[in-house]
Amino acid sequence: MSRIVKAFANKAKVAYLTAGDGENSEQYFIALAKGGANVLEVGIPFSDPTADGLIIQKAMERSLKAGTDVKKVLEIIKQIRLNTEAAIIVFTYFNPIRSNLEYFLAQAKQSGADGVLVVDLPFEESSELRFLCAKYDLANISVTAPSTPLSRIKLIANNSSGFLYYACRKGTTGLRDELPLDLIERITEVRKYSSLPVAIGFGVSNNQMVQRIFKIADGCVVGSYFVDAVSKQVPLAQLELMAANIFNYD
Amino acid sequence: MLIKICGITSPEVALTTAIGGADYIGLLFSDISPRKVTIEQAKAVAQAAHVGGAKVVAVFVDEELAAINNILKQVAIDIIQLHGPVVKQYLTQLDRNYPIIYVADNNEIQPSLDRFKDFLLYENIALPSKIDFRYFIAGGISKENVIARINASNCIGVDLSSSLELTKGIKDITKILEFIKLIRPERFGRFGGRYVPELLIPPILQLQQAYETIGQSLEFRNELNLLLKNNVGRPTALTEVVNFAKALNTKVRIFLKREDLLHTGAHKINNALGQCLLAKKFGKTRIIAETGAGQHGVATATACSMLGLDCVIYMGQVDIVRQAPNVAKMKLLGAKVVSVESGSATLKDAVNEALRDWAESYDNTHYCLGSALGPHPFPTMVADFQKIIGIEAKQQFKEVIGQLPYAVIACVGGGSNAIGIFGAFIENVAVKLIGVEAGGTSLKLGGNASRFSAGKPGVLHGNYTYLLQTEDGQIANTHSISAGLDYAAVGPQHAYLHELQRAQYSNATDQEALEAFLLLTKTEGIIPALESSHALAYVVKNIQQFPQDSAILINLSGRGDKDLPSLLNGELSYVTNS
Repeated sequence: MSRIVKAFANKAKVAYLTAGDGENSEQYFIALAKGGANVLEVGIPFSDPTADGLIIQKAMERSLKAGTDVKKVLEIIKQIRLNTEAAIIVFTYFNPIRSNLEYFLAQAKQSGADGVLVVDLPFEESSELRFLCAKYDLANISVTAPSTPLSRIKLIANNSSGFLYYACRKGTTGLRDELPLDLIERITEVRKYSSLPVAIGFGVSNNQMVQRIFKIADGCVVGSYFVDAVSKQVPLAQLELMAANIFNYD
Repeated sequence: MLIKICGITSPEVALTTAIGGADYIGLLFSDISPRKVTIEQAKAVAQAAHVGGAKVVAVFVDEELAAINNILKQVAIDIIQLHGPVVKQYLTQLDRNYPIIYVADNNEIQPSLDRFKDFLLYENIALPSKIDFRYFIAGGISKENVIARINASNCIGVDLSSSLELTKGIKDITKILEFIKLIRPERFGRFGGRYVPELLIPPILQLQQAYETIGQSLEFRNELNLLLKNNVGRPTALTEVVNFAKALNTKVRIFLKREDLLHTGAHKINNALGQCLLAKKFGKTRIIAETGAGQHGVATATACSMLGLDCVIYMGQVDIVRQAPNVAKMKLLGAKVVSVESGSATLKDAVNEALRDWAESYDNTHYCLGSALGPHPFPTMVADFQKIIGIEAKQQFKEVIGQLPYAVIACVGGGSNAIGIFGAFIENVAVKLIGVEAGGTSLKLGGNASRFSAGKPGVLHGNYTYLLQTEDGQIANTHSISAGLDYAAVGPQHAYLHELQRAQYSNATDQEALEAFLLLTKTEGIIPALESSHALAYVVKNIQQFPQDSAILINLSGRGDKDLPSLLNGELSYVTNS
């Protein structure tokens, strides 16, 4: 947890990749950390990722085809942890970890993870996850969306830890050119109801967007942009440079 | 919200309570309780509770330590509850492998309790402002106040006992199940729920509200019923298939509920029209839907033309090829058909794409889910719109033969036609309910869509239910000759009926379904859908199991026109060539 606090102390640079997409997947995460990412979201691939757009869907397909399972993802996390002090968040759908949730969380913690985000477990379904995250000292990270009513933001924020992930638009993950117009207004509202640091993500794909987000939030999440690069098999050094450039903040 | 039911004394009640969704079943051992069980009774109740999926709590009040240890040794207990000062003094001497439920009084909480393992229980005392433990509330909880009591606390569960009794010490199972449904309306026993990204919660809550208000109004129901009568062709006929029975060499009277005679050719229109009308009433102008066989797609496209709504249908590319006539119909009706090429390019992937669309479009769009599955309220709402099938059939059966059917048989993909016809008969426990899944070409994972024989519970598309999945929790590929049954999950109410053993689920292979398809066509002049042919195939295969003087009811959920081009090019090509 303290790694998350540290990352959010001065603009958290949150980078997502699907684990097991590409050979030596851990190297991609490490490259992102070298490029300045201080929170790494490690995605467990799932056959039916309904919250994700095409870029991440394809990455999950490739990863599953290469034989990635939960055990392999935990191995990847261990390797990342040996190489960086960036915070690690496991990013997953529920079914792959459901049948042995407590064991999974204990293993994730032991492998070096700092937090968990389960995409398809809304507040009402997540009481066991919240309890177990507290037990194993993992941050339990929740998402709020533009449509989330204020009373719900309060409920979610009060029952989460680490940071709050504000998915700034409707739809699925992917690349977009612009931030939504009502972002500042919405973030001001979210902050009223949450004492947690707030990271903004969903569609962030260039440095102008990142700069604007850093002006109003504590962190910025970049996902599909990096996943797309990995799918094109960019060299590690270039991925590192991409992270450095997109997260650059002056 | 966890549910703990205390003071159960019979294994039968324990089993139904557990399957009904209770998480914990409490056994009382103290002589002072009218609900006291002996060790032998406790063993039987604990076993039944475990079979039903609940954990067993031993509640101690005034027992000696030796007696407690003896009970722990002999009965399969999961958790110990300490109630009152006598037993609380043993806390540090107990085997701490057992989690403890510690009944809190106004004294200090004992320091040896572990907040990551143990629970508190607050019964009839004010809750402190800060509670570090997971805790239950109990005492004076009634149907009228339970929701308010839950909302006023931050409890992890409720503990119920005397409010559920017929007379002192005797539990009323109907009351228990009512209470569980009240506390967890989104579930059928353990199954169902609402597993969706946060983004989809607001539109789902909006839908639920519309369904519970507009959808339940007399005005809405009258309008829907009128449309079903005048535009869709309800009620549908009940047909006795004498020649078909003769061909099976049986005296069993076989009746078909003719949903195939409905406008658009299947039961799907009952639900599609219900949802589209509701959507229009709460201000949506665009409808999206998934479809497998294309029946739900055609039904939705038709409802949209009737009501003046825009319509987009997601359909797997594999299904587009094998159900070509329906694709053409949807396009003629003005719908946009989107080919889904991801994953297995069948029904499951079409649902994925529809959910993705909805996450972006819900301001003006309703997702008209076609089967009795998905996040709450879909399973309940779809079953509701389909229950007209069973209500009519029951009435017709009484009129025609003066009694209820011996068995009701329906094919089960997601399970909407089956839940529609089962619904009216669930209360008549003597009537056997039989669901028939797709046996495909093999009973190995990937060769069928038999969730109850090849699957296990998991979460897909917003609900917890029986699911075809790999060891790693990835959703398995499925196979069926019938696109409408070719799906990895089953509606959560079917999962519940299966566990309760109120319905039994079987399967028919591709080949068996095809043979039944041909037999009904030849003997009766009715061309059934390949989906419905699975229900027919079950009867052909198992005709011996029905008593000779009985009458059975099969839901003929749809007609087979849509299957002909594909069959005539493939399995039935000899017809084309002869």
